[in-house]
Amino acid sequence: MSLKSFHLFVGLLSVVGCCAYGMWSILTFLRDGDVTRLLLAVPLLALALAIIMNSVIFYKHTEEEPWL
Amino acid sequence: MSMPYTNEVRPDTGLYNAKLGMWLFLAAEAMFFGALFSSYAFLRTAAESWPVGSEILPVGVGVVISIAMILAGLFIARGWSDLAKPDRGRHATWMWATIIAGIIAILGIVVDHRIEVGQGMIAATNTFYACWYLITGALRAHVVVAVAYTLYLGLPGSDMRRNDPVRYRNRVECLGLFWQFLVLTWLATFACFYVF
Repeated sequence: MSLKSFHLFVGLLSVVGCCAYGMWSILTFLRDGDVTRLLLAVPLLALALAIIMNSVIFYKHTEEEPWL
Repeated sequence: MSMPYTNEVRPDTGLYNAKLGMWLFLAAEAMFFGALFSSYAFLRTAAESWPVGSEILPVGVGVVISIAMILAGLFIARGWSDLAKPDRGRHATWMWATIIAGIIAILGIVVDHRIEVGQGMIAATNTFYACWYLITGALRAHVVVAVAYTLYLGLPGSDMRRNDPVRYRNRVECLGLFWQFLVLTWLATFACFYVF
């Protein structure tokens, strides 16, 4: 497996993890009113968005590379 | 006589020597961390009570480490992809960004440990802390090695970039695979200790 496929796989897992933890933090904030949770959620959701955008750019740069 | 498949791909495996070696190494690493995580799962399920990590560990520091680790994996991949460009793009910038993100992750783990030690929570306190110190300590050692090798490729290894660019790109790809593995391991660590 090349870095191309492994990086996209890890990126996908990172997006899922960031979104899951970010949403859970927002739900905790809405339930308990803990502002710290909101402060944790915002950078994680922003990071998830950045990973998606980066993955698209990375894929375009490595279109010629083999998947394996 | 030069060694075959140093740069070119071997037709039957589809890999060059360094990538085959790196995957064998990662397989060994997966078994090492797999043993640690399965021991953790066994101890946790056998325990009568288990603390909730999100209530006793500094989750903010854990989130900072997660962001730094994910960014390090992202930067090294971009550094590798930029090497395919005729002018090598911003390869050197991505490599230094990887090093900085890695150092932030290492410092984050050190701060995390110091906070807990400062509160009198050491590995001997309970099984939770024993597992947490062991797994985060092992991961920190791995990140130190990854940062050191990234530094090596960025400084003395830059000669190889000029003299043998194909071999250099292969080395960066292998390093990138190792970084991706560390990101995966950290995500598992974060989920096990800081969330549940």
